[in-house]
Amino acid sequence: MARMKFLCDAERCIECNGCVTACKNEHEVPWGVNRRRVVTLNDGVPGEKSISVACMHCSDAPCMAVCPVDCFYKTSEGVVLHDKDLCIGCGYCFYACPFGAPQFPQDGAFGLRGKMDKCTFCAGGPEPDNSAAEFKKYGRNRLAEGKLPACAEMCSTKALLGGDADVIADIYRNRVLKRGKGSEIWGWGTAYGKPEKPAAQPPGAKS
Amino acid sequence: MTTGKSVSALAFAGALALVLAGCGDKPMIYKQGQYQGKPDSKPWDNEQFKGSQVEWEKAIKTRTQGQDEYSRAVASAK
Repeated sequence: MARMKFLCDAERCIECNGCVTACKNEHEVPWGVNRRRVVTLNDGVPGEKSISVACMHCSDAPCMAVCPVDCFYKTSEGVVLHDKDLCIGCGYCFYACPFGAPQFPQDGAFGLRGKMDKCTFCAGGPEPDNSAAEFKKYGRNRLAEGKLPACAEMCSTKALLGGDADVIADIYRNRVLKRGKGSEIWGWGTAYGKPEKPAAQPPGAKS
Repeated sequence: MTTGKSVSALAFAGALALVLAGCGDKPMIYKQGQYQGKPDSKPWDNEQFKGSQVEWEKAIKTRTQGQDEYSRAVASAK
């Protein structure tokens, strides 16, 4: 049984926000709600690092533990989801989450907090799969279509990996072994490794 | 005198135990199966996969492997 996880490779992330845009577009997420965002450390300094952050679908999710109405559930694939019909918008999950994943719509005449919204790993919610009700409340259910989350599939540098934890861990391990490591090196060579053969030179070209 | 000392020592020990008891905290462990909402269907229970978990897992695995450009490059070179 798959155990779905996200993994972000900070060496590859170029802060393009393609994942954020893909998520927004896929689920028609309202203004002010960001299920996914890119966080950059040491912005502007050589060697800056960016990672894409959303719900990490924790194995022992603190949001599930603190929810007073028990609206969270974990699917057999390890995806943490919630029932918006039960959510009372108390915000406990927001305080409990170390990643700031739970989001609350702020619109309304009195600045209503609204029902919590978060990354669903593109797995929708407890409404019938790919129904209009599911799309309206939780967004598209790509997992039921045999697809991975839009953010991971859209990532241009494949910094953000999504899928079965064992498989993506293998992909990442293989990548790290191929490219090597070194705190002083950063950029293209670190992310993608060095070419095994030097680029072909046109005849007569000066080296 | 000895009795008085032992009584005060006993009282001190009791008070210490009472004070330290306030430092204790039972760990809050989430218990599975507390969910109060609607039941959710499996991602393979639809027309596309016709209830076949194996087919669904195969589709997901193919997609997941598609994220590995090293294996993609090897496959395209063959």
